[in-house]
Amino acid sequence: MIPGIDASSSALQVERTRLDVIAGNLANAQNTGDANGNVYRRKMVVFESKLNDALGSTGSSAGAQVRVSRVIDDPSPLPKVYMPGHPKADAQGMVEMPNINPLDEMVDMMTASRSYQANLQAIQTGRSMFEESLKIVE
Amino acid sequence: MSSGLFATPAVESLRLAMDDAAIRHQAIASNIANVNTPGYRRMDVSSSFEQAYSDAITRLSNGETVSELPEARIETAAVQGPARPDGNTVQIEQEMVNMAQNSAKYEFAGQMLAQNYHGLKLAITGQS
Repeated sequence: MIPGIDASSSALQVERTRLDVIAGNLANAQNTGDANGNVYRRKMVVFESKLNDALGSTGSSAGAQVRVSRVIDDPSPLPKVYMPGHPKADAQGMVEMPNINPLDEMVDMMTASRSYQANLQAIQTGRSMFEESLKIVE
Repeated sequence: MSSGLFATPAVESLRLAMDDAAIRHQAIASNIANVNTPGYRRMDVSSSFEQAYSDAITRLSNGETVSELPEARIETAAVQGPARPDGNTVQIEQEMVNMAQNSAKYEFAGQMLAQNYHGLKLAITGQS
């Protein structure tokens, strides 16, 4: 009924998922032992668009929705930090740390929240268009 | 479309304009939703519908009648702007501007249509 609501709401979901993943990365920025005992690796979400089969119908289900296809580990090398007293330090006193750069995460977080806002705006516009069509019968 | 009390050229034009704006909003919403999707190419209202729509508006403004338009579809736009390194061709600023213009067009048509019916009601009942 509201034009574009399917695409916009799918985007709200994926941007929220992305924010969750970014929050997880920031929380684990110093985590040298994750659930498997390995050093935590930065997680990344992969987006893909999903073309709706009902494309062309003037109902609510038209357009390209977006979804998270998978969450992958960042394969970039883990930085080593000199911390001799650390329980995970090797013979040279070096400890592998997660490959997380808080600055990257902050920039990603800003992008995600701005995209979320843009989609919310699209929903609001669609809703006001729908309300306008109701006013014809007043 | 038969002309008559309700299907005047003005009403028909406004109806078509609202249909066009509603389907265009779906295309814009898809583009905004996929602004971070790698390889996504921006969508727009299908060119066949656009052509039929502008022909119909021209005919209506000449006082002619129009037959039903083909079903409005959205498809990957024929003309794409420059792609980002990830292959995505959505420019968010452009989409937001398009959305503002499009909703203004829809609301304009809606209000004109409401005015039109309001005038009819006035003529029928003699009171507003």
